[in-house]
Amino acid sequence: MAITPLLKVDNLSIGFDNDDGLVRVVEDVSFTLERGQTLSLVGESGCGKSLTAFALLQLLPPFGKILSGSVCLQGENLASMDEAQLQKIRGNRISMIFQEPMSALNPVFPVGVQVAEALILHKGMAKKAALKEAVGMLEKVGIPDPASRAVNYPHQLSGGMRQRVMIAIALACEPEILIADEPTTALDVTIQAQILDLMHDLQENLGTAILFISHDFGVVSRMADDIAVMYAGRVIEQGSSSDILLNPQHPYTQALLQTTPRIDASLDRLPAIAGRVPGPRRRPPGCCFAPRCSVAVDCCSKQRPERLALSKSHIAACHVLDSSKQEVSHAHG
Amino acid sequence: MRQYLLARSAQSLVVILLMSFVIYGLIGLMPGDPIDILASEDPTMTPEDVAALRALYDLDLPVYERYLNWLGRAFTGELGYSRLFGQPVLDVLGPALVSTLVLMGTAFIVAIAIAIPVGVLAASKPRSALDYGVNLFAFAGISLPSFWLALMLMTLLCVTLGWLPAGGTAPAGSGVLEQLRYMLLPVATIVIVNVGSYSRFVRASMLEVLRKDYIRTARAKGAGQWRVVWRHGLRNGMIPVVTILALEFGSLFSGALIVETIFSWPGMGKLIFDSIMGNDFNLALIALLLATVLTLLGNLLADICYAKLDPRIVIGEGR
Repeated sequence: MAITPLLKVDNLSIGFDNDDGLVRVVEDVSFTLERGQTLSLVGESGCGKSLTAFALLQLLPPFGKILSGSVCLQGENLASMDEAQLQKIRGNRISMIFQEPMSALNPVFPVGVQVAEALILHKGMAKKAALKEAVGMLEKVGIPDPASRAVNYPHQLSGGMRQRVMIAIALACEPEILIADEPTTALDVTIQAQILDLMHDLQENLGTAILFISHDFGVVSRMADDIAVMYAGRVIEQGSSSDILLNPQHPYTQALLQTTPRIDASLDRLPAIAGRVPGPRRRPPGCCFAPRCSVAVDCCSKQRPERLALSKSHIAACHVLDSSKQEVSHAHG
Repeated sequence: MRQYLLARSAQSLVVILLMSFVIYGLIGLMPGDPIDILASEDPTMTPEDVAALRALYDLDLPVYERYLNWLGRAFTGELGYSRLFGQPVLDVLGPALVSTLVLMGTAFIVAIAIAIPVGVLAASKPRSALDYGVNLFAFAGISLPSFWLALMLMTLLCVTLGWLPAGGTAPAGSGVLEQLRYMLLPVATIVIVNVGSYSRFVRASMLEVLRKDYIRTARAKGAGQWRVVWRHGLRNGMIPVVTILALEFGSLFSGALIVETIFSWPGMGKLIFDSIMGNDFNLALIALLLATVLTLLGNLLADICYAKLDPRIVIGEGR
């Protein structure tokens, strides 16, 4: 019997149900995350990657809800849990860190108290013991002089330090999964590298699996074991890190990779993908990337492409790929 | 902190001085003076008598000279006599201030004690039945004219049912319960009229706060709804509310003219009104000035509250 994966997301669809009616924003997203591994969700802004992450813990913004699909943490479906059950999982078995470490920390509480809160909530610690443990956590995430930092308020720390505090909060209860929603986007580059290294080290020490959300292939290539590329609410290509980075098949993935600056290429100007991601109400009936795709053919704008297994680990959804693959298989057959 | 308080007091002193001149000037601009009233009451007075009286009381001097004279005496602690009551100004003001403070202070505390939980609950479940109910009640309260509400309550509870006294204060020496019976209606009127807008302030502020990223962080940490709203939300949500309440603080002491008049409550609102209408310069001047002082004090209190609520605000570290 196969071992149950740590986290298995199946055909997850997310929508917003407000006065203007229901809008499907994320459609049929599936992936698995194994213990100690890092899966990266990549895509432009507005492609639904953050929403997917928030949906896992049912932390969607108002009016957002899971329309269908399941999110199984070791076989237990989070999507069908009630609030009380979810509270036992949030911050305990699955934690999150966010893009803006300034606004994500409560301005009126010292950072030590905010780290200690997770311990009080989940480990049933007394306040004093939790505060002591919090100082230890702050030390673990590389904050110098943690005892005196613990009584500081968020505004007294730098951006990098704040993100370290967020990581300390998230990892205080040694969760199985850490969801990191663009954790380095708001930081400058040298700090980015430090935070990524820190996450990497902690992952090795604690065996935490990471769901890493980013739009930056440069960052993703440092972190990810597996990558899922999202476009307009769907996963259009997924595979191992080397599948995606070295052998991208979907035209969108290829285009996105070309927009990432490389140290070994000398270009006057980085290519950009023309146009924008269509909003959830304006998605074309066929492949959503077709209007921006340089190799699109007729059927691209009419029919949704199916997901196609290119190898054991590599999946992509593209008509062009489909036909060429079929040609290949005809030739071989 | 201490230095800050000293600096603020010095600033306030300047404001008070300026305000005293403005108020003095405005009173001086009012048509008629006490001598006119005297003359109209006494048909035997000749214009020469009037002029002589004016000269006697320095009322023929230009306003700024009269002001300087008044200021000089005020600094020696001599605030003059009330023309209407024939008593030193402070003797008249003291009891009125106390009785207004009892009335308005009680109403203020009760209104806040209702508005905060109600506003927070409404904000924590926006668009719920509770939220709509609170909104309806709030707007009803805001829309009710206090004189109408006061009269209706009085008609129902004092006249028809005869449960409560219709006005005035309890006779001297009566028990606490008896005093409360007299306070109930005026307090209720002020509370009903104010609690709506207070709870709307709280609700608006909390709605804003509950959308913040750190609220999402608190949820992601596993905090329950109660903890998220009352621990992570409320302290942030109170910061703007304090501003509004501090502004209200000043009005606590100037009283509620309409409610005090309807319920014959011997407070500041009625006193200020009577003193202005009766050309009681000395009394009106000090009463209005007192309102200024207390408003300034309210703002100072608000600033201290900010620093207590929000660690980003540190007072007394001026550069």
